[in-house]
Amino acid sequence: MQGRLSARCVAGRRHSQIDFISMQIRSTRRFPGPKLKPLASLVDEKVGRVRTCKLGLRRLEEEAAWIERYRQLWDARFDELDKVVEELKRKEKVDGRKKRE
Amino acid sequence: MDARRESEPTPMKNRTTVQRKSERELVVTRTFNGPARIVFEAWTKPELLKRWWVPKSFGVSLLSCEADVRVGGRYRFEFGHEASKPMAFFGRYIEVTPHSRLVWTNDESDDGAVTTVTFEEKGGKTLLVMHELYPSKEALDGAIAGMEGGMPETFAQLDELLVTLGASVGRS
Repeated sequence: MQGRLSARCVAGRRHSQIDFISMQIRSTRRFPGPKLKPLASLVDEKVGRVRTCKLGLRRLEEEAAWIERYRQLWDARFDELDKVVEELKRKEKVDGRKKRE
Repeated sequence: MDARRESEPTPMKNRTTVQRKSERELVVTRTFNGPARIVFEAWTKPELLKRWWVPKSFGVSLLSCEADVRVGGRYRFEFGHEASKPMAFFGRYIEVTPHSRLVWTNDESDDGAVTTVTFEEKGGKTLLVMHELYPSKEALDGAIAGMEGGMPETFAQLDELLVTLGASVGRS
């Protein structure tokens, strides 16, 4: 998805990204200053009555964002795994004590 | 000597790291405060696996969790909101070395990775390294970019889970 397309056309390309893209367009137009760092860089250009925007996906940033989400997923799993490990350790201690008695 | 002298450090959260090591590899690491045999046990007994694989915060339930942890044995984890439309992770174990190494396939798509998990014990703690090797650069790129057609089902499912996770965090 690179090059110049109308905003409507870009949105049509990938249904699930419609909201995301229009939000990005809105946020970059409405608010001055870098309040939100967009994942995709959008550059507006108005030719006649059609406003087009250049969607240059910042691949590395996207990859970093995906990796962070993936990290959060495993982090959440491993926090639960920590609890299981603690429980097994306690159980082992109790069982060890019983055996010694 | 005295067993009670065993140091019990204040529980501190260990860090999870994820790194793209190469065009085809992702590596996840985490240290656990326990011996390798215990961490390995938690990865290989289905009744323990199911307690951590889908944390409550994900907002979906694990519908079934089968894992026949032997070379050639199969696993299948199904989860979702409704039993009629479960999402599934499945594949088979191709290497099982007690307390040190597990290797399995991810058969949800042709672009699925081969996952190797190693358990390395040091001073009563275990460094866990999960290595995912994709069949091609395109397979891993596809997983990351989420491009139509190139995205393995498994990652679409992860994305869905994370959206749920984000939403449940937002609610609380």
